[in-house]
Amino acid sequence: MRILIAEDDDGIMTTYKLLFGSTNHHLFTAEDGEECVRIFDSQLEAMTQTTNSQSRAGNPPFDLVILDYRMPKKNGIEVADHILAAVPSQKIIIASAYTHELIENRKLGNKSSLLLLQKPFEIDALMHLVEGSPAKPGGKATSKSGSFNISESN
Amino acid sequence: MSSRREEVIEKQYYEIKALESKYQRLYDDSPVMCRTINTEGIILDCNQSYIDNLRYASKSEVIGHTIFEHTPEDKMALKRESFEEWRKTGTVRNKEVWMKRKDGTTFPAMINASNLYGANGVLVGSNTVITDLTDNYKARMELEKSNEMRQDFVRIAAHELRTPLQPILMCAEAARRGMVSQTEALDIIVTDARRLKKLADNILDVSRIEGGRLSFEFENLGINEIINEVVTSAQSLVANQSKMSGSKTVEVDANLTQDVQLSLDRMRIVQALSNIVTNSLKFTKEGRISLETEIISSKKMVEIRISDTGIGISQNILPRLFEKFVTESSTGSSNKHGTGLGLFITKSIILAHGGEISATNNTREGNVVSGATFVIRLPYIAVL
Repeated sequence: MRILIAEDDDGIMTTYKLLFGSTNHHLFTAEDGEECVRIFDSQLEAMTQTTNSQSRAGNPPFDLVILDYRMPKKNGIEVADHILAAVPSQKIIIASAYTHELIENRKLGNKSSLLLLQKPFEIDALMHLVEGSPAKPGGKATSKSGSFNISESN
Repeated sequence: MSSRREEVIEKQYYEIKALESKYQRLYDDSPVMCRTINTEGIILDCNQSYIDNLRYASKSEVIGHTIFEHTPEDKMALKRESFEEWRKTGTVRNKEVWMKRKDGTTFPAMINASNLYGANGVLVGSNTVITDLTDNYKARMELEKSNEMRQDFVRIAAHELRTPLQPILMCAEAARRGMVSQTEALDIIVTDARRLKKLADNILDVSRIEGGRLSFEFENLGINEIINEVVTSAQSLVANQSKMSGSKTVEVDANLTQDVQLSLDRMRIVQALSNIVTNSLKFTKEGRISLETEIISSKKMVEIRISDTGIGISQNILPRLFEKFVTESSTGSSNKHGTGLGLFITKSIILAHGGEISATNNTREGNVVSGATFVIRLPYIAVL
């Protein structure tokens, strides 16, 4: 899987690398929101140039994007806005200690395809979202394992 | 006012005075505001305290006017409602209201009224005692603000504690399942457990500072010894980081002047200076962190300057740099740059030592250059 991760915490990023490195995923990493947007845009551009643009139109350049919410330069929601504007079908997980506040403060708008992961989360909760099927708006809640689709809470 | 109406008010005034003459001195000299009104809300009498508090020049500016002239416009409906209630029930007890002064300013007050009845037993008015609640109101506002701040602190602290928990939880579980090597996992677990401990210590310190319970044990010490201790500790930290990354990119050094003796809490002042140096290290990927001292004899202060060659401090952060939970991020906070408690604690420690602290971005010939400088001034006892 091609996975783009934006996380400004060294400890958490190292853990992601250890976890996904051991399962042969192709990782792209960013330390802040702007770097994440740059990587996403460049990979989208590269994909468009190397493939038939008609057949690939609207296809996401990554199998998964994992975003921290609180990051320097651009927060996770701002990055998600940018990505979804370019590729609405891109699967994105927002992993944050502040997921409940994001929902309560309605900072997610109508981005019903976003998946939320409450930090600290268990490996199973992460793997369930990583290996599970793409997000479906209104999908069944899996909050028992620490993750949930935002549409269940609106 | 028509002469007929003045005659009626005057008549009512003397009737009421006849009823009350026994307590007139108490009324006139009371430090709380007193006013006497008829059932239409027209003021028949008031004491000097009422005149002074409402900033009128004399009693003649008050008598014959209605109580509604002394009520703020935005509270008028409420006032009329409670006035009608008094006319119906004859009761006003511990009612919180807002009063308007002659100059238009307002203040909160509490009113209590004792009814006045004419010879035929009919309600003719009331004597109202009005207590200025401005001080209580301010205290209540401060208490509410303080409670809100405490709740915010607890909420943010609880969230911040989750961040270092994440790698600990994931690495421990991944190692248990054999997904990563135990050595790799343990390195991360130990690092983040220490981070968690530091965060918990900082949260406790902030709690002590805000409760006025951060204790100090002062002793007379030379400042150079303290700074050398901080520098040695920082050099050790840099050496460890360099060992892990394989390259040494930041130098930490001291340029000290003649030593001075200060009254210091060794542990706390080392904590304060170390917080600044650690903060500088976070924002300095390569270059130098220098600690310098200078004696300012005229003020009997020693100035400690901690300067770095890092990325400097954002203009939007600079004015709030020493507040809680302020960190270098466009989104209010981020994980990489700490939780924003260290500099708040540092400032509190410096202030407790009778000192002062400030921070600026570095400039050369009026132009901003890389890095920032923290300046601390502490009072000294003697030059050594």
